[in-house]
Amino acid sequence: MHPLLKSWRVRLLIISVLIAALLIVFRGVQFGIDFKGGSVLIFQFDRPLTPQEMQQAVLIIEKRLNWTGLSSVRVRGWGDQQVVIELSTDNPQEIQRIKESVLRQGKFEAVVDQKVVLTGKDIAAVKPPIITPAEIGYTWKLPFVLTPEGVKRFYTGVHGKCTPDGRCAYVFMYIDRPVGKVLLIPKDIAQEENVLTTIPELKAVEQAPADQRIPMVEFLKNAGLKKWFIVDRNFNPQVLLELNAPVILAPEENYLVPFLQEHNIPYTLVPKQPGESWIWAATNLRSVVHLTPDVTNVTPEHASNELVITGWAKNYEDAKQKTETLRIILESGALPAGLQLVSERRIPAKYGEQAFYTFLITIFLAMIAVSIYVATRYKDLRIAVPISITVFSEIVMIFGFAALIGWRIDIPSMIGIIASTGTGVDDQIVITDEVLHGGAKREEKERETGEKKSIWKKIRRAFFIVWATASALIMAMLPVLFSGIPTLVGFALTTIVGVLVGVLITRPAFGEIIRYVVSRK
Amino acid sequence: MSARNAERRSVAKTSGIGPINTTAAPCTSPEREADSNSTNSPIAIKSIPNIISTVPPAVKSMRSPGVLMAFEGLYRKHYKILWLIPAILFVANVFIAFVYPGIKLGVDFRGGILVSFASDKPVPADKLAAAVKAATGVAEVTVVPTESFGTGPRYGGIVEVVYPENIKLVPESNVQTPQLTAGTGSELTADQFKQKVLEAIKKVVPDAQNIVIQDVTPAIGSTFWNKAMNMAIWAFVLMAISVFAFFRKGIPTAIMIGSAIFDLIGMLALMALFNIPLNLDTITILLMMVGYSIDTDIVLSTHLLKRTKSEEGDEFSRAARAATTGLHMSGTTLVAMLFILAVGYLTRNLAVMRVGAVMIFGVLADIVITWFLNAPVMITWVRKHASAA
Repeated sequence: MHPLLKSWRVRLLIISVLIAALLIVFRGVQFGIDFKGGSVLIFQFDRPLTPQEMQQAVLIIEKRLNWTGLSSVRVRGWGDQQVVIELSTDNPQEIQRIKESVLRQGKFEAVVDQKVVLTGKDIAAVKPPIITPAEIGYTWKLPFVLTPEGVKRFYTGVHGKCTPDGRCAYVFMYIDRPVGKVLLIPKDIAQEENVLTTIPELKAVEQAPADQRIPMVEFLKNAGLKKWFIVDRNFNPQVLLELNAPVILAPEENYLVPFLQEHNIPYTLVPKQPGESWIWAATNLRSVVHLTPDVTNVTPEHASNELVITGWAKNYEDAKQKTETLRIILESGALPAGLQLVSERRIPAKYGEQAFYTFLITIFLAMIAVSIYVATRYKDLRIAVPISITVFSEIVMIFGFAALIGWRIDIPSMIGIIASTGTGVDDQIVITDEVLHGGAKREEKERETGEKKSIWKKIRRAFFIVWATASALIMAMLPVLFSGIPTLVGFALTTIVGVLVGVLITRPAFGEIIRYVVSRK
Repeated sequence: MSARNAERRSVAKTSGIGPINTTAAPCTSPEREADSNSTNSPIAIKSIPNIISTVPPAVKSMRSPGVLMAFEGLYRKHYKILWLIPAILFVANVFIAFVYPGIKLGVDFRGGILVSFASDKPVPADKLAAAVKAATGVAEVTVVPTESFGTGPRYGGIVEVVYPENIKLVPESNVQTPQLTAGTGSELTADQFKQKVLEAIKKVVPDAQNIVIQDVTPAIGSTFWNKAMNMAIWAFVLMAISVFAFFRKGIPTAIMIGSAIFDLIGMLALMALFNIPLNLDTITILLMMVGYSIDTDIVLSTHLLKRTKSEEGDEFSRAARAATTGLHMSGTTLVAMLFILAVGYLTRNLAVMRVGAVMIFGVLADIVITWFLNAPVMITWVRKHASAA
């Protein structure tokens, strides 16, 4: 047996590299969307969430995304306010669908006479949508079933809401009702929509029977608004300062935007869709149901347990999309807070593949270049070759570790691998220099007393530097690792793993090899 | 057999066990050390090239002893004024980093759009930048043409548009894209803005393909900034603790952490000069390079604080010994980092290119700070400390 193989340090290195290689072959290294293509979306909640809320939010978003039928979606909470979604697709339509299903807080509320009678929690199940062709476009129905408690609550909520002369109340169903907000209605919209019906299409108003015509005020009262204004150019925005509430406005009112920005008032612009009611859109109203005596005046045991949300769509596809999104939101429940999209990145698969090979070749070339540098420095292959082997085994072990914990290698991880092995060579240089040149004066005296002892001492001293430097680099990277910033964690992780693999496995073995090389001279 | 002997002989030379002692001895003899300020050894007084020329032929082929002696001479003669170089640089760096041209905040903090693409023809960078500026009305547009080898189109480019300050985010409730309104009252949703950038690219580079788009809205900026600052503060605190734990000496730890701060300022100045903005990734690299720069400081401190005169000579020769090792450490790191710069260029990844560049800045700043500031200061401290003891 070769004397080097008797050293446990060298054995540890060989075994570790073998295990890493087996892990890479059998478990496989996973690569992130940087190399496979896909998209990354980052969403931000309106307020910081508690850890439980964040966990719940991630679950709800996962649920919503699973229903969109997309394969390989990854949702991660990041810090207390952001959620990162990785998708394996870079198709703009699919991404748009994802955005639509995630961007809703999804708080369902049914309101009768300004009282909430049902919330999302009362929904037991959502039935398949019914889509039927209408004169123009399609109408759709989305029936849903209430829980036993929901039935009870709904029953108490609507009981007696029909007067004896047959005038009945309406049920307003919202998803994300603008509670506590201020609505600024442009004057022309207020005139056009002063009477609305139970469907959002304005054209229908003229044809609607008298009992289906509802004054706009009814709509606004049930929306939970803090206040609303009918606004024209003469509107004095100072009043908004006192109200101190988020503002909803139409694009034609954007002359108010500089004022709102100046005073840090959050605001939402809701565009007007041709032919549809702006009030519906601005208050997030989804459905209005006219109650009938057979619903309101029954005995508890005959209370209805099924409700329907109805709507209209341009074409069949649109109807399907709308009902699907609605169903997902109703079924998954409400997110703890509202959220918005803050970052989006799309990587085509072809680009990812090219980037992958470029990185592999680069790592390989970098290794060769570093080896050549070391070889010219020491002019001795017996030193240069072990250094190169050490670098190579470090890279294998980092990949092996990634395979072990199922880490997805992305571009920052690759950079971390190059950086940690590139700086890792430094340690080998420290050890080598120490062994070759260190303690020159003492060595002269010790020449006769036995060189081996002195080499050991030198290696031990070199390891003081190795440990101190490794510790400093890890300390610098730990805060990055715990920042949880998705684009940086990979870098910090591979750097730290690289450094640890170096100080714990490869460098002790390298010290052994260098001792062997020098003592044989 | 004879070849093997020859090899052994050459190893004996390069290893320095033989010749180095003889060449290093004149500098490290105790008589000289006592009055090293005024009456230096003739070798040390001579200018650096002369020192190298006096090295015996057997050693001449090796770079290290030359560097070793050069540094030893430098430290022995000039250690009291050497720090002036980095000190002057520091003042200049502070000015460059914070006053003019000043370091800029990148898309991560201010929001913006990054598009990279491939093309079969070289990309006219100036023309493209002008087209994007014209299309969006945004002044801060960076265009980097790239070239790659192997399969796929040979050329490509990266376009970075940083949102101007007067653009603010407008969340919409029904249209699910954030909306941007400029102060002028003209308004674009982020998607429309993106579309404009893409149209401008397609106009100048009709065959643009493999398009990668990334957009960051400014809303996330303040969160990022707080996180980044937290990371930086923690990194410095932890590093200081770590260094102190290893050396158990307050002043040297302070000197090392001080050097790290100087390094940081140096890197920031270089970033400002080369128009590389502060982003999350560049901040991380700054931290990593600060952690890395401590490496050479540790090598230096170990040689100065943990070694004795009887082992390796006086503090000048110990510092010089540390410098030869340290410079080669920087050398290998520099080689690895040049490849990071190259891979960023080849994969049209502006972030990776910037990461590579900042790493190289870090190594360069570290070389100057460690061997021209930290070393003379530490030598002074060691001398004082030794005489007091």
